[in-house]
Amino acid sequence: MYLSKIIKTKKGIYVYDALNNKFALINSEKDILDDSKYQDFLSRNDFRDITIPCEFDVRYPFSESELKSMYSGKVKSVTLSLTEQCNLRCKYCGYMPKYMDHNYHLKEMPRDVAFKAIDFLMKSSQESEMCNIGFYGGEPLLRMDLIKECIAYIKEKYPFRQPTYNITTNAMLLDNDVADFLIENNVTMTISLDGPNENQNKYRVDGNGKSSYERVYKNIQALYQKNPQYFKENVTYNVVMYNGANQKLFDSLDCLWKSNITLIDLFETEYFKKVRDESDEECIDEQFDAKVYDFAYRNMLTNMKKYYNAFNTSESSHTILPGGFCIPGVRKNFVTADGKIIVCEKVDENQELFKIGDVYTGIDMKKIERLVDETVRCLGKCKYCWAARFCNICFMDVLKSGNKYCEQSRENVENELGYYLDHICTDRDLVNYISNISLV
Amino acid sequence: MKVALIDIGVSKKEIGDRVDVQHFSFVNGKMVEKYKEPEEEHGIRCFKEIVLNARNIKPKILDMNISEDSGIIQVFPMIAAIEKAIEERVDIINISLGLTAYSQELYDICEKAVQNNIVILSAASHRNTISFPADFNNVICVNVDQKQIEKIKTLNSTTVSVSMKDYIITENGVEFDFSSSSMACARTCGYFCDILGDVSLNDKYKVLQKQYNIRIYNTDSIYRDNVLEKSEIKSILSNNKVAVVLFPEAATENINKNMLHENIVAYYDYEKGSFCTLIDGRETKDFEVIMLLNSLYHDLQFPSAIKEKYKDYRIIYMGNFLKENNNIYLCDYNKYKSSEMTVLEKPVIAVAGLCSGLNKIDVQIALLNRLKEDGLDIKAVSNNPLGLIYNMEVFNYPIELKFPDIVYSINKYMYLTEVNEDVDAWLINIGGAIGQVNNLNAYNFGKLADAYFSAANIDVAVMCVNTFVDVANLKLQLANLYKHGIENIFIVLSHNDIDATTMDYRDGLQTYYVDNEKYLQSLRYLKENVIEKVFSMEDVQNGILYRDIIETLS
Repeated sequence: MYLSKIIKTKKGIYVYDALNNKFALINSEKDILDDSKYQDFLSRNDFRDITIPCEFDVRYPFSESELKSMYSGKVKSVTLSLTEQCNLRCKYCGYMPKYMDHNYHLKEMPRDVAFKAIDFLMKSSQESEMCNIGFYGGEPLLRMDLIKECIAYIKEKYPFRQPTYNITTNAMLLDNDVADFLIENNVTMTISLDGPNENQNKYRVDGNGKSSYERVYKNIQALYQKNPQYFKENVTYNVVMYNGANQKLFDSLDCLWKSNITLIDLFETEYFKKVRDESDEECIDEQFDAKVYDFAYRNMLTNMKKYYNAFNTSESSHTILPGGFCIPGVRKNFVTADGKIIVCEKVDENQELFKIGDVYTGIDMKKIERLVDETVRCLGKCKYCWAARFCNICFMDVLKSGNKYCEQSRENVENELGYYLDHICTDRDLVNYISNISLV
Repeated sequence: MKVALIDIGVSKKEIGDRVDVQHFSFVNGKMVEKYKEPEEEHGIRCFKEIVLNARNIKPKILDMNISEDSGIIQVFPMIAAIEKAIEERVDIINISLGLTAYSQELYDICEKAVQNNIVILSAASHRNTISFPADFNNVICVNVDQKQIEKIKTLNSTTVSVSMKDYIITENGVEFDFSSSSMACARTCGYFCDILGDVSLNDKYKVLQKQYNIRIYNTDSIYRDNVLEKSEIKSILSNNKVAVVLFPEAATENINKNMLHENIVAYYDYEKGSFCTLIDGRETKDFEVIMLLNSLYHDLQFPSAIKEKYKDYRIIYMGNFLKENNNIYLCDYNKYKSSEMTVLEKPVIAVAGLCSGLNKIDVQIALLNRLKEDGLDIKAVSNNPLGLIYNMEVFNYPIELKFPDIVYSINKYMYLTEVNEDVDAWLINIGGAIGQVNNLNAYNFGKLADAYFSAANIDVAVMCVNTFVDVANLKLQLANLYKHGIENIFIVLSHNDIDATTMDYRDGLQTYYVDNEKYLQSLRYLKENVIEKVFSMEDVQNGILYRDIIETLS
């Protein structure tokens, strides 16, 4: 079978034709595997003969001129790494090697670099429906002075522009004045909180190993008291699931008054491997119904959007770019403390491949070309993969994708697609809900 | 834990030392921090009930005294008190009071409280009538049920009941029940203080949902309330034998008897001056309702004499009548509120017109007839009251079209219909015209068509035009339809014979008499000058338009 897959679910058995993005319900696998039944199946279903070899045409969808046109006016955001310094030493943090290395000098973003990054965004976002500035770290509240300067700079230099602001913080310094300032300037907040006391304090500790929960909770509570409605509309929690998804954690997260929760799978660093509590591993495979948790169900439905989109377009092309790649230089743009523009905050910023420009000269087309070429090269094998249309691979994974990654991805797509076919596409309320989800 | 007790005051003398109470009262249109000695005990009784039942926590009570000198509970102090409670960041608002008149402002302030994570409890009416805020979908309504075993029982998504057996006093073997929904509300407030007490960063409604399955209305909810309510006029038609009087008179001759609603049994024969059966034309009085249907664009004088003449019948006026009509019985777009678009699945055929008086209803009836003959379940929608006799859904033409609300409403109505009824396709006759005909109809004509085009994907548009259509303007209007993504457009040339005596400016439109020769000339001219297929009214009646539509859809 080429570019196709038999998907068994609780409700039935489907055969999925990835090339034409079509599916059909079958009675049993024999409908496909038994020659005479297969011919009958083909004639009844107007289905492609999946025994004939075929492949996707894997290609990058945007031309150089299209990309240039986007860079000239449709850039959506920059995320400023204001400092590499942090007031916590979370044990799973990717910066831990830097924190442990006494010879490494943690960088601080100079004001000039921040302003240049703002100028870059303002000049290249004039036609964009979205213009967002993210404050990131390290811990960005250590640079509250710079955050205030940035916002004042925008108000002064670009009085007719109103970018949106976001800050990703551990909330340790989220005191009364800071909260007032953030609310006044409508800054949306992503607060890193791993759950209740015992979850948060296990790895989110300061340099002396002291727990963070008590202070963080007190600050969050004070923020909530200031304006519960603002809180509901603007505060999202980032939760690192170092223990995997488990019922106890989901129970506590589900009840929180919040805008949303982003669950983050743990990326196990070498340092974390050494310090990790071995008992964590035991909890990882816990089975439970995530659907009963509103936030988890909504996240799951958001993930279904790509399936909805794929099955609700009039045409299905054989030319694809697998995965969920954003357009480099448009959507993310992580600005390092020394002014380099990295494709997004999640990639390894030390990899030369992900550097796509700097705040002084903007996006470098040659570097974009290099990134795109390397990406398409890495995705070459995807032309034979039935799951390529729905794979989640993005720049973050492109250098590390291997057989293990692909196997896991196919398994995920198989589960998700099965769920979509069983539960979503026939439920009109869910279809409506998903159709209204915006992925911007 | 802070509780706002919105009531008629809590006396300082009765509070005691153990409870922290802050007093507010309504002074000069505002809730201010000021103590006012209550004249009645209702407030203190509620206060005691709350404190007594909050066993694990000591709530701070905000006494919000909304009593006024008149002794009548008014809506404005209640709104001001809720506003103040939000400002004071309370956790629960207890309102053991109720008003019978609906107030949007009161609803909105309750919504604001919900947005601020405040739970509002209110007492159900004692008399089983409506009571606000208890009957709002964003407020938890509390009642008493002395038979229940549970401490709190959830009756529906926003209503709970509590048992108050301790309020039953037996004297000489006779039981007296002193319980009330007011005290039940306060008791529930006490219970909720315990449940919500230690969860300051939690979503209180989520906690209550998990514990009691209380689900207040939430526009963000994944699953919708998919109930499609019948319009009043449909109920009348379903439950009564109806005789119809059609305006203009000529419409009577064109009644298609094969398609009539089963309860339309008679029509008014203008020549005979009496009602006759639709089966054999004999005079009849065997009906309960007389329905006057005016499909004319101008308002008719209300024929008041008939009320006397037919006093034994219920008389209903549909369409444009001066001073009085019953158009409120028709379907109303405003009843289908939504803030999101839904995905519609069934094909949509829309009949629209460039200008007014274009035989749209005739085209719709002809198509409906053929579609039904082919065994299809068609949902026919119209703004023309004449549609009622053919069992169409007739919507009242809105006085004001508010965008985007109207788009959402149409979309929601269509979605609910698709979910609740067997529908193979839609056939929609859109009231008004596309585009501005002249500056007299700049506001009401055409915008409804825009709303429909945004609310649903139109598979086929049948555009009715008149013989004096300006082709350049027609092309512009067709381009507008293509812009909306409507790929299949058919043009029907209407043949509305206009009485020569009304040739001058009528309704702001200059009209002139069109005989058959002029009609055919116009048809030829139109066919030569537009690329879309053009049909005559005869083509419509002969099924040629229908055949082309079916070919396109299949």
